[in-house]
Amino acid sequence: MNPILIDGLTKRYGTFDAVRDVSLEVSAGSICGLLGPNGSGKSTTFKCMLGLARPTAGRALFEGAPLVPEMFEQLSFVPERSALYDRLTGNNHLEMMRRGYRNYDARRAQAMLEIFSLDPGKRIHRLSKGQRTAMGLVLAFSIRPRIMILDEPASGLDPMHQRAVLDLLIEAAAHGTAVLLSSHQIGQVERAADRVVVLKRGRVILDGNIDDLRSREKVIEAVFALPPDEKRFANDPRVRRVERRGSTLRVYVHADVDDVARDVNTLSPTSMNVLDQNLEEIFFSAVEEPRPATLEAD
Amino acid sequence: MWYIPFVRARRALIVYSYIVAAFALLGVAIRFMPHASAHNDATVPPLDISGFAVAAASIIAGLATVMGLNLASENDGHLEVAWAKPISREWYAMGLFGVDLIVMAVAYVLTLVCAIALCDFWAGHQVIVVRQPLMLDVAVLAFPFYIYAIVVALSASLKRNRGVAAGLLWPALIALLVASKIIRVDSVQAVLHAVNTINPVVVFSSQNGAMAPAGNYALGFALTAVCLGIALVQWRRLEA
Repeated sequence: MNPILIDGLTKRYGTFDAVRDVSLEVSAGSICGLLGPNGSGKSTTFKCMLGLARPTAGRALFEGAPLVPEMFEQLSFVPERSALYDRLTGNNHLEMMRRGYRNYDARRAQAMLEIFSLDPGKRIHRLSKGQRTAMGLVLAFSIRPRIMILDEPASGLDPMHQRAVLDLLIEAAAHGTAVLLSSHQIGQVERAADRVVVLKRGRVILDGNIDDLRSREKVIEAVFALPPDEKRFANDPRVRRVERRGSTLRVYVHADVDDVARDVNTLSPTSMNVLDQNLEEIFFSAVEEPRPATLEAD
Repeated sequence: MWYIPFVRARRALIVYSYIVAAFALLGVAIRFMPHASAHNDATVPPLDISGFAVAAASIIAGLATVMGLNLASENDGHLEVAWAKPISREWYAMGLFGVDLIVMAVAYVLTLVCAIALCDFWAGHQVIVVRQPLMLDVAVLAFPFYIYAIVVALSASLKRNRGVAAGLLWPALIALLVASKIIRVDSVQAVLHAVNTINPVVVFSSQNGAMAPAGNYALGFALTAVCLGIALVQWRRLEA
Protein backbone atom coordinates (compact mmCIF):
# COMPACT_ATOMS: atom_id res chain seq x y z
CA MET A 1 0.00 0.00 0.00
CA ASN A 2 1.55 3.28 -1.11
CA PRO A 3 1.68 6.11 1.43
CA ILE A 4 0.32 8.57 -1.13
CA LEU A 5 -2.26 7.72 -3.76
CA ILE A 6 -4.21 10.29 -5.74
CA ASP A 7 -6.94 8.98 -7.97
CA GLY A 8 -8.72 11.11 -10.56
CA LEU A 9 -8.43 14.32 -8.58
CA THR A 10 -10.36 17.17 -10.18
CA LYS A 11 -10.93 20.69 -8.94
CA ARG A 12 -13.21 22.98 -10.88
CA TYR A 13 -13.78 26.69 -10.21
CA GLY A 14 -16.91 27.57 -12.18
CA THR A 15 -16.09 26.45 -15.71
CA PHE A 16 -12.33 26.46 -15.14
CA ASP A 17 -10.63 23.17 -14.42
CA ALA A 18 -7.73 24.02 -12.10
CA VAL A 19 -6.91 20.32 -11.77
CA ARG A 20 -8.31 17.64 -14.03
CA ASP A 21 -8.21 13.94 -13.43
CA VAL A 22 -4.80 13.89 -11.76
CA SER A 23 -3.65 10.49 -10.55
CA LEU A 24 -0.31 9.61 -9.03
CA GLU A 25 1.27 7.38 -6.43
CA VAL A 26 4.29 7.80 -4.21
CA SER A 27 5.75 4.76 -2.57
CA ALA A 28 7.55 4.65 0.77
CA GLY A 29 11.16 5.75 0.50
CA SER A 30 10.73 7.51 -2.81
CA ILE A 31 10.68 11.13 -3.90
CA CYS A 32 8.24 12.27 -6.52
CA GLY A 33 8.68 15.67 -8.14
CA LEU A 34 5.58 17.48 -9.31
CA LEU A 35 6.60 19.89 -12.03
CA GLY A 36 4.69 22.37 -14.10
CA PRO A 37 4.58 26.00 -15.12
CA ASN A 38 2.87 28.57 -12.91
CA GLY A 39 -0.87 27.98 -12.81
CA SER A 40 -0.55 24.35 -13.87
CA GLY A 41 -2.37 23.14 -10.74
CA LYS A 42 0.45 21.93 -8.50
CA SER A 43 -0.59 23.88 -5.40
CA THR A 44 -4.27 23.16 -6.00
CA THR A 45 -3.46 19.45 -6.21
CA PHE A 46 -1.72 19.65 -2.84
CA LYS A 47 -4.60 21.57 -1.30
CA CYS A 48 -7.17 19.10 -2.57
CA MET A 49 -5.10 16.18 -1.33
CA LEU A 50 -4.87 17.67 2.14
CA GLY A 51 -8.46 18.80 2.50
CA LEU A 52 -7.47 22.47 2.33
CA ALA A 53 -9.71 22.69 -0.73
CA ARG A 54 -12.65 20.49 -1.64
CA PRO A 55 -11.99 18.43 -4.75
CA THR A 56 -14.78 18.37 -7.32
CA ALA A 57 -14.04 14.70 -8.00
CA GLY A 58 -11.47 12.08 -7.17
CA ARG A 59 -9.82 11.12 -3.93
CA ALA A 60 -6.54 11.09 -2.08
CA LEU A 61 -5.54 8.18 0.11
CA PHE A 62 -2.76 8.20 2.67
CA GLU A 63 -1.48 4.80 3.66
CA GLY A 64 -4.59 3.35 2.05
CA ALA A 65 -7.15 5.46 3.88
CA PRO A 66 -8.80 8.83 3.32
CA LEU A 67 -7.20 11.71 5.17
CA VAL A 68 -8.19 11.99 8.83
CA PRO A 69 -6.79 14.59 11.26
CA GLU A 70 -4.74 11.95 13.09
CA MET A 71 -2.75 11.37 9.89
CA PHE A 72 -1.07 14.74 10.46
CA GLU A 73 0.92 13.09 13.25
CA GLN A 74 2.80 11.42 10.39
CA LEU A 75 2.34 13.92 7.61
CA SER A 76 4.14 17.22 7.13
CA PHE A 77 3.05 19.84 4.67
CA VAL A 78 5.13 22.84 3.67
CA PRO A 79 2.95 25.28 1.72
CA GLU A 80 4.27 27.45 -1.06
CA ARG A 81 3.58 30.65 0.87
CA SER A 82 4.58 30.75 4.51
CA ALA A 83 1.54 30.15 6.72
CA LEU A 84 3.43 30.90 9.93
CA TYR A 85 2.15 33.47 12.40
CA ASP A 86 3.96 36.75 11.76
CA ARG A 87 3.75 38.12 15.28
CA LEU A 88 4.94 34.94 16.96
CA THR A 89 8.52 33.79 17.29
CA GLY A 90 10.17 30.66 15.97
CA ASN A 91 10.19 29.36 19.53
CA ASN A 92 6.41 29.85 19.72
CA HIS A 93 6.04 27.76 16.60
CA LEU A 94 8.33 25.05 17.95
CA GLU A 95 6.30 25.03 21.16
CA MET A 96 3.16 24.64 19.05
CA MET A 97 4.73 21.55 17.47
CA ARG A 98 5.88 20.18 20.83
CA ARG A 99 2.40 20.46 22.30
CA GLY A 100 0.52 19.32 19.22
CA TYR A 101 2.52 16.37 17.88
CA ARG A 102 3.50 13.26 19.77
CA ASN A 103 6.47 12.60 17.45
CA TYR A 104 8.03 16.01 17.97
CA ASP A 105 11.78 15.63 18.26
CA ALA A 106 13.38 18.64 19.98
CA ARG A 107 16.92 17.56 19.10
CA ARG A 108 15.98 17.19 15.46
CA ALA A 109 14.40 20.66 15.53
CA GLN A 110 17.54 22.13 17.10
CA ALA A 111 19.74 20.46 14.49
CA MET A 112 17.52 21.85 11.75
CA LEU A 113 17.72 25.36 13.22
CA GLU A 114 21.51 25.07 13.09
CA ILE A 115 21.49 23.81 9.50
CA PHE A 116 19.49 26.85 8.41
CA SER A 117 21.26 29.26 10.82
CA LEU A 118 17.94 30.42 12.23
CA ASP A 119 17.41 32.42 15.40
CA PRO A 120 14.20 30.96 16.90
CA GLY A 121 13.81 33.95 19.19
CA LYS A 122 12.97 36.24 16.28
CA ARG A 123 9.40 37.01 15.36
CA ILE A 124 8.43 35.57 11.98
CA HIS A 125 7.77 38.97 10.42
CA ARG A 126 11.40 39.87 11.08
CA LEU A 127 12.63 36.92 9.03
CA SER A 128 13.47 37.10 5.34
CA LYS A 129 11.43 35.11 2.82
CA GLY A 130 14.08 32.42 2.72
CA GLN A 131 14.26 32.24 6.51
CA ARG A 132 10.49 31.83 6.72
CA THR A 133 10.68 28.99 4.23
CA ALA A 134 13.46 27.49 6.33
CA MET A 135 11.40 27.85 9.51
CA GLY A 136 8.54 26.02 7.81
CA LEU A 137 10.96 23.25 6.90
CA VAL A 138 12.28 23.05 10.47
CA LEU A 139 8.72 22.50 11.70
CA ALA A 140 8.02 19.95 8.97
CA PHE A 141 11.10 17.86 9.71
CA SER A 142 10.80 18.18 13.49
CA ILE A 143 8.10 15.49 13.71
CA ARG A 144 10.00 12.90 11.61
CA PRO A 145 6.99 12.32 9.35
CA ARG A 146 6.34 9.25 7.23
CA ILE A 147 4.85 11.43 4.49
CA MET A 148 6.10 14.83 3.36
CA ILE A 149 4.34 17.11 0.93
CA LEU A 150 6.30 20.20 0.02
CA ASP A 151 5.20 22.99 -2.28
CA GLU A 152 8.29 24.81 -3.54
CA PRO A 153 10.33 23.93 -0.44
CA ALA A 154 13.47 25.69 -1.61
CA SER A 155 11.76 28.92 -2.62
CA GLY A 156 13.79 31.91 -1.49
CA LEU A 157 16.63 29.84 -0.03
CA ASP A 158 20.23 30.48 -1.00
CA PRO A 159 21.96 27.76 -3.05
CA MET A 160 23.68 26.28 0.01
CA HIS A 161 20.44 25.88 1.89
CA GLN A 162 18.67 24.64 -1.23
CA ARG A 163 21.22 21.87 -1.35
CA ALA A 164 20.70 21.22 2.36
CA VAL A 165 16.96 20.80 1.77
CA LEU A 166 17.59 18.30 -0.97
CA ASP A 167 20.01 16.37 1.23
CA LEU A 168 17.43 16.31 4.02
CA LEU A 169 14.74 15.04 1.67
CA ILE A 170 17.02 12.36 0.28
CA GLU A 171 17.93 11.34 3.82
CA ALA A 172 14.26 11.26 4.84
CA ALA A 173 13.41 9.10 1.83
CA ALA A 174 16.30 6.79 2.70
CA HIS A 175 14.59 6.28 6.05
CA GLY A 176 11.33 5.33 4.35
CA THR A 177 9.53 8.67 4.08
CA ALA A 178 7.38 9.19 1.00
CA VAL A 179 8.11 12.64 -0.39
CA LEU A 180 6.01 14.58 -2.88
CA LEU A 181 7.43 17.96 -3.79
CA SER A 182 6.82 20.61 -6.36
CA SER A 183 9.58 22.83 -7.59
CA HIS A 184 10.63 25.11 -10.39
CA GLN A 185 14.24 24.05 -9.80
CA ILE A 186 14.22 21.19 -12.27
CA GLY A 187 17.88 20.40 -11.73
CA GLN A 188 17.23 19.87 -8.05
CA VAL A 189 14.26 17.64 -8.71
CA GLU A 190 16.39 15.65 -11.12
CA ARG A 191 18.98 15.19 -8.41
CA ALA A 192 16.58 14.18 -5.65
CA ALA A 193 13.53 12.60 -7.24
CA ASP A 194 13.22 9.14 -8.65
CA ARG A 195 9.98 9.97 -10.35
CA VAL A 196 8.39 13.05 -11.89
CA VAL A 197 4.89 14.05 -12.80
CA VAL A 198 4.48 17.06 -15.07
CA LEU A 199 1.28 19.07 -14.99
CA LYS A 200 0.10 21.48 -17.62
CA ARG A 201 -3.21 23.32 -17.37
CA GLY A 202 -4.27 21.00 -14.59
CA ARG A 203 -3.59 17.77 -16.46
CA VAL A 204 -0.83 15.23 -16.16
CA ILE A 205 1.11 15.36 -19.40
CA LEU A 206 4.16 13.38 -18.36
CA ASP A 207 4.58 10.82 -15.64
CA GLY A 208 7.32 8.35 -15.02
CA ASN A 209 10.54 7.23 -13.49
CA ILE A 210 13.31 9.71 -14.34
CA ASP A 211 15.59 7.05 -15.84
CA ASP A 212 12.71 5.69 -17.94
CA LEU A 213 11.90 9.19 -19.13
CA ARG A 214 15.50 9.81 -20.08
CA SER A 215 15.62 6.60 -22.08
CA ARG A 216 12.23 7.27 -23.68
CA GLU A 217 12.42 10.98 -24.43
CA LYS A 218 14.89 11.68 -27.24
CA VAL A 219 15.53 14.41 -29.78
CA ILE A 220 16.26 13.66 -33.40
CA GLU A 221 18.25 16.51 -34.88
CA ALA A 222 18.46 16.44 -38.65
CA VAL A 223 20.14 18.99 -40.92
CA PHE A 224 18.85 19.40 -44.45
CA ALA A 225 20.21 21.11 -47.52
CA LEU A 226 16.88 22.93 -47.94
CA PRO A 227 14.41 23.84 -45.20
CA PRO A 228 12.38 20.67 -44.58
CA ASP A 229 8.64 20.35 -44.23
CA GLU A 230 8.11 19.79 -40.49
CA LYS A 231 4.33 19.44 -40.79
CA ARG A 232 4.74 15.79 -41.64
CA PHE A 233 5.47 15.07 -37.96
CA ALA A 234 3.11 17.60 -36.44
CA ASN A 235 0.34 15.12 -35.65
CA ASP A 236 2.48 12.04 -35.17
CA PRO A 237 1.47 10.40 -31.86
CA ARG A 238 5.08 9.33 -31.22
CA VAL A 239 6.25 12.93 -31.47
CA ARG A 240 5.86 15.42 -28.65
CA ARG A 241 6.90 18.49 -30.60
CA VAL A 242 8.68 19.56 -33.78
CA GLU A 243 10.93 22.58 -34.11
CA ARG A 244 12.48 23.95 -37.27
CA ARG A 245 15.30 26.44 -37.19
CA GLY A 246 16.38 27.25 -40.69
CA SER A 247 17.35 23.99 -42.31
CA THR A 248 17.65 22.13 -38.99
CA LEU A 249 14.76 20.02 -37.82
CA ARG A 250 14.45 18.93 -34.19
CA VAL A 251 11.90 16.23 -33.52
CA TYR A 252 11.13 15.59 -29.84
CA VAL A 253 10.17 11.94 -29.59
CA HIS A 254 8.61 10.17 -26.64
CA ALA A 255 8.27 6.69 -28.14
CA ASP A 256 9.90 4.48 -30.75
CA VAL A 257 12.80 6.77 -31.53
CA ASP A 258 14.23 4.33 -34.07
CA ASP A 259 10.97 4.26 -35.98
CA VAL A 260 10.75 8.04 -36.10
CA ALA A 261 14.42 8.30 -37.04
CA ARG A 262 13.76 6.03 -40.01
CA ASP A 263 10.91 8.30 -41.08
CA VAL A 264 13.11 11.39 -40.76
CA ASN A 265 15.77 9.65 -42.78
CA THR A 266 13.35 9.25 -45.70
CA LEU A 267 13.51 13.06 -46.04
CA SER A 268 17.23 12.68 -46.96
CA PRO A 269 18.92 14.86 -44.35
CA THR A 270 22.57 15.73 -44.81
CA SER A 271 23.18 14.65 -41.21
CA MET A 272 21.10 13.22 -38.40
CA ASN A 273 21.73 12.61 -34.68
CA VAL A 274 19.66 11.13 -31.89
CA LEU A 275 20.27 13.16 -28.72
CA ASP A 276 19.58 12.40 -25.08
CA GLN A 277 17.69 14.95 -22.99
CA ASN A 278 18.12 15.93 -19.38
CA LEU A 279 15.04 16.44 -17.22
CA GLU A 280 14.95 20.15 -17.93
CA GLU A 281 14.87 19.54 -21.67
CA ILE A 282 12.26 16.83 -21.26
CA PHE A 283 10.20 19.23 -19.15
CA PHE A 284 10.42 22.04 -21.68
CA SER A 285 9.66 19.78 -24.61
CA ALA A 286 6.54 18.64 -22.74
CA VAL A 287 5.19 22.00 -21.58
CA GLU A 288 6.37 24.52 -24.16
CA GLU A 289 3.81 25.74 -26.60
CA PRO A 290 4.83 25.60 -30.28
CA ARG A 291 6.35 28.96 -31.09
CA PRO A 292 5.15 31.08 -33.99
CA ALA A 293 6.86 30.20 -37.27
CA THR A 294 8.46 33.64 -37.50
CA LEU A 295 10.34 32.96 -34.27
CA GLU A 296 11.27 29.44 -35.23
CA ALA A 297 12.92 30.37 -38.49
CA ASP A 298 16.36 31.78 -37.85
CA MET B 1 -3.10 21.74 20.41
CA TRP B 2 -4.53 25.18 21.08
CA TYR B 3 -1.23 26.79 21.87
CA ILE B 4 -1.54 29.48 19.19
CA PRO B 5 -5.05 30.56 20.32
CA PHE B 6 -3.72 30.49 23.87
CA VAL B 7 -0.74 32.71 23.03
CA ARG B 8 -2.98 35.10 21.12
CA ALA B 9 -5.55 35.29 23.93
CA ARG B 10 -2.82 35.66 26.54
CA ARG B 11 -1.41 38.61 24.64
CA ALA B 12 -4.86 40.22 24.48
CA LEU B 13 -5.25 39.71 28.23
CA ILE B 14 -1.83 41.23 28.94
CA VAL B 15 -2.57 44.30 26.84
CA TYR B 16 -5.96 44.61 28.52
CA SER B 17 -4.36 44.27 31.96
CA TYR B 18 -1.98 47.12 31.14
CA ILE B 19 -4.93 49.31 30.23
CA VAL B 20 -6.79 48.44 33.44
CA ALA B 21 -3.62 49.00 35.48
CA ALA B 22 -3.11 52.38 33.82
CA PHE B 23 -6.63 53.44 34.75
CA ALA B 24 -6.16 52.14 38.29
CA LEU B 25 -2.92 54.10 38.68
CA LEU B 26 -4.62 57.17 37.31
CA GLY B 27 -7.38 56.75 39.90
CA VAL B 28 -4.85 56.40 42.70
CA ALA B 29 -2.89 59.42 41.47
CA ILE B 30 -6.02 61.55 41.40
CA ARG B 31 -6.90 60.42 44.90
CA PHE B 32 -3.61 61.77 46.22
CA MET B 33 -3.85 65.10 44.47
CA PRO B 34 -4.02 67.95 47.02
CA HIS B 35 -7.53 69.12 46.13
CA ALA B 36 -9.07 65.62 46.06
CA SER B 37 -11.78 65.35 48.67
CA ALA B 38 -11.19 62.86 51.44
CA HIS B 39 -14.00 60.46 51.96
CA ASN B 40 -15.89 59.94 55.11
CA ASP B 41 -16.97 56.36 55.64
CA ALA B 42 -19.86 57.40 57.82
CA THR B 43 -21.54 59.48 55.10
CA VAL B 44 -20.86 57.44 51.98
CA PRO B 45 -23.66 55.04 51.06
CA PRO B 46 -22.82 51.47 50.06
CA LEU B 47 -22.91 50.50 46.39
CA ASP B 48 -24.50 47.47 44.79
CA ILE B 49 -22.02 45.16 43.11
CA SER B 50 -24.41 44.64 40.21
CA GLY B 51 -23.63 48.12 38.89
CA PHE B 52 -19.97 47.19 38.75
CA ALA B 53 -20.80 43.88 37.12
CA VAL B 54 -22.80 45.53 34.33
CA ALA B 55 -20.09 48.15 33.80
CA ALA B 56 -17.34 45.52 33.73
CA ALA B 57 -19.31 43.35 31.31
CA SER B 58 -19.82 46.34 29.03
CA ILE B 59 -16.10 47.04 29.02
CA ILE B 60 -15.34 43.38 28.31
CA ALA B 61 -17.77 43.56 25.39
CA GLY B 62 -15.22 45.87 23.78
CA LEU B 63 -12.50 43.31 24.33
CA ALA B 64 -14.87 40.65 22.94
CA THR B 65 -15.28 42.66 19.75
CA VAL B 66 -11.54 42.41 19.15
CA MET B 67 -11.17 38.80 20.27
CA GLY B 68 -14.05 37.75 18.05
CA LEU B 69 -11.75 38.20 15.09
CA ASN B 70 -9.35 35.48 16.25
CA LEU B 71 -10.96 32.71 14.21
CA ALA B 72 -10.99 34.89 11.10
CA SER B 73 -7.31 35.70 11.58
CA GLU B 74 -6.59 31.97 11.13
CA ASN B 75 -8.31 32.28 7.76
CA ASP B 76 -5.92 35.05 6.77
CA GLY B 77 -3.09 32.85 5.54
CA HIS B 78 -2.75 30.36 8.39
CA LEU B 79 -5.15 27.58 7.45
CA GLU B 80 -2.27 25.44 6.17
CA VAL B 81 -0.92 25.43 9.73
CA ALA B 82 -4.21 25.40 11.63
CA TRP B 83 -5.66 22.55 9.57
CA ALA B 84 -2.50 20.47 9.42
CA LYS B 85 -2.82 19.55 13.07
CA PRO B 86 -3.83 16.09 14.25
CA ILE B 87 -7.19 17.39 15.39
CA SER B 88 -10.41 18.04 13.52
CA ARG B 89 -11.03 21.58 12.41
CA GLU B 90 -14.25 21.67 14.47
CA TRP B 91 -12.40 20.77 17.66
CA TYR B 92 -9.74 23.31 16.85
CA ALA B 93 -12.34 26.07 16.45
CA MET B 94 -14.18 25.02 19.61
CA GLY B 95 -10.92 25.00 21.55
CA LEU B 96 -10.20 28.48 20.24
CA PHE B 97 -13.64 29.65 21.39
CA GLY B 98 -13.05 28.08 24.79
CA VAL B 99 -9.70 29.81 25.25
CA ASP B 100 -11.16 33.17 24.22
CA LEU B 101 -14.19 32.84 26.49
CA ILE B 102 -12.03 31.90 29.47
CA VAL B 103 -9.75 34.88 28.84
CA MET B 104 -12.78 37.17 28.67
CA ALA B 105 -14.05 35.77 31.97
CA VAL B 106 -10.65 36.38 33.57
CA ALA B 107 -10.58 39.91 32.17
CA TYR B 108 -14.08 40.47 33.57
CA VAL B 109 -13.03 39.38 37.07
CA LEU B 110 -9.92 41.54 36.82
CA THR B 111 -11.99 44.56 35.81
CA LEU B 112 -14.58 43.94 38.50
CA VAL B 113 -12.02 43.55 41.29
CA CYS B 114 -10.05 46.56 40.11
CA ALA B 115 -13.17 48.74 39.87
CA ILE B 116 -14.41 47.71 43.32
CA ALA B 117 -10.99 48.23 44.91
CA LEU B 118 -10.57 51.58 43.27
CA CYS B 119 -14.04 52.70 44.27
CA ASP B 120 -13.44 51.70 47.84
CA PHE B 121 -10.03 53.30 47.91
CA TRP B 122 -11.01 56.49 46.15
CA ALA B 123 -14.51 57.16 47.35
CA GLY B 124 -14.73 54.96 50.41
CA HIS B 125 -17.79 53.14 49.13
CA GLN B 126 -18.60 49.80 50.59
CA VAL B 127 -19.60 47.44 47.83
CA ILE B 128 -22.36 45.11 48.80
CA VAL B 129 -24.60 42.62 47.12
CA VAL B 130 -28.17 43.82 47.15
CA ARG B 131 -31.30 43.03 45.15
CA GLN B 132 -29.71 40.54 42.75
CA PRO B 133 -28.56 37.02 43.35
CA LEU B 134 -24.78 36.80 42.98
CA MET B 135 -25.26 34.39 40.10
CA LEU B 136 -26.52 37.27 37.97
CA ASP B 137 -23.18 39.01 38.40
CA VAL B 138 -21.69 36.05 36.60
CA ALA B 139 -24.54 35.87 34.11
CA VAL B 140 -23.76 39.36 32.82
CA LEU B 141 -20.90 37.67 30.97
CA ALA B 142 -23.58 36.62 28.50
CA PHE B 143 -23.33 40.14 27.08
CA PRO B 144 -19.62 40.06 26.06
CA PHE B 145 -19.92 36.40 25.13
CA TYR B 146 -22.80 37.15 22.79
CA ILE B 147 -20.95 40.09 21.26
CA TYR B 148 -17.93 37.81 20.77
CA ALA B 149 -20.09 35.15 19.13
CA ILE B 150 -21.72 37.65 16.77
CA VAL B 151 -18.32 38.95 15.65
CA VAL B 152 -17.06 35.38 15.18
CA ALA B 153 -20.14 34.48 13.11
CA LEU B 154 -19.88 37.62 10.99
CA SER B 155 -16.16 37.27 10.33
CA ALA B 156 -15.55 33.49 10.23
CA SER B 157 -15.28 33.34 6.46
CA LEU B 158 -13.61 36.71 6.00
CA LYS B 159 -9.89 37.39 5.61
CA ARG B 160 -8.36 40.86 5.50
CA ASN B 161 -11.69 42.66 5.62
CA ARG B 162 -12.69 40.97 8.88
CA GLY B 163 -12.09 44.20 10.81
CA VAL B 164 -14.94 45.83 8.90
CA ALA B 165 -17.39 43.32 10.37
CA ALA B 166 -16.25 44.14 13.88
CA GLY B 167 -16.06 47.86 13.21
CA LEU B 168 -19.59 48.10 11.87
CA LEU B 169 -21.17 45.89 14.51
CA TRP B 170 -21.63 48.48 17.26
CA PRO B 171 -22.92 51.26 15.01
CA ALA B 172 -25.34 48.75 13.48
CA LEU B 173 -26.60 47.51 16.86
CA ILE B 174 -27.10 51.04 18.15
CA ALA B 175 -28.71 52.15 14.89
CA LEU B 176 -31.23 49.30 15.19
CA LEU B 177 -32.10 50.41 18.71
CA VAL B 178 -32.42 54.07 17.75
CA ALA B 179 -34.41 53.27 14.63
CA SER B 180 -36.93 51.29 16.64
CA LYS B 181 -37.48 54.38 18.84
CA ILE B 182 -37.88 56.93 16.07
CA ILE B 183 -39.48 55.10 13.15
CA ARG B 184 -43.23 55.01 13.53
CA VAL B 185 -44.20 53.02 10.43
CA ASP B 186 -45.90 49.86 11.71
CA SER B 187 -44.41 47.39 9.26
CA VAL B 188 -40.87 48.72 9.80
CA GLN B 189 -41.40 48.79 13.53
CA ALA B 190 -42.48 45.16 13.45
CA VAL B 191 -39.31 44.19 11.63
CA LEU B 192 -37.12 46.28 13.92
CA HIS B 193 -38.85 44.85 16.96
CA ALA B 194 -38.21 41.31 15.71
CA VAL B 195 -34.56 42.06 14.98
CA ASN B 196 -34.10 43.80 18.30
CA THR B 197 -35.24 40.73 20.21
CA ILE B 198 -31.77 39.38 19.47
CA ASN B 199 -29.95 42.73 19.48
CA PRO B 200 -27.52 42.48 22.43
CA VAL B 201 -27.75 46.20 23.12
CA VAL B 202 -31.50 45.74 23.63
CA VAL B 203 -31.41 42.30 25.28
CA PHE B 204 -28.93 43.42 27.95
CA SER B 205 -29.97 47.02 28.43
CA SER B 206 -30.56 47.80 32.09
CA GLN B 207 -34.12 48.56 33.06
CA ASN B 208 -34.80 51.26 35.65
CA GLY B 209 -31.22 51.08 36.85
CA ALA B 210 -31.42 47.36 37.53
CA MET B 211 -29.84 44.53 35.63
CA ALA B 212 -31.69 42.91 32.74
CA PRO B 213 -34.00 40.03 33.76
CA ALA B 214 -32.36 36.66 34.31
CA GLY B 215 -34.20 35.25 31.29
CA ASN B 216 -32.41 37.69 29.02
CA TYR B 217 -29.04 36.36 30.15
CA ALA B 218 -30.21 32.82 29.47
CA LEU B 219 -31.28 34.01 26.01
CA GLY B 220 -27.85 35.62 25.59
CA PHE B 221 -26.04 32.38 26.33
CA ALA B 222 -28.34 30.48 23.97
CA LEU B 223 -27.76 33.00 21.17
CA THR B 224 -24.03 32.79 21.86
CA ALA B 225 -24.18 29.06 21.21
CA VAL B 226 -26.20 29.60 18.02
CA CYS B 227 -23.75 32.19 16.66
CA LEU B 228 -20.75 30.01 17.46
CA GLY B 229 -22.52 27.15 15.67
CA ILE B 230 -23.00 29.37 12.61
CA ALA B 231 -19.32 30.27 12.75
CA LEU B 232 -18.39 26.58 12.94
CA VAL B 233 -20.42 25.78 9.83
CA GLN B 234 -18.59 28.54 7.93
CA TRP B 235 -15.22 27.43 9.29
CA ARG B 236 -15.81 23.88 8.08
CA ARG B 237 -16.60 25.10 4.58
CA LEU B 238 -13.57 27.33 4.16
CA GLU B 239 -10.90 26.58 1.59
CA ALA B 240 -7.28 27.62 1.83
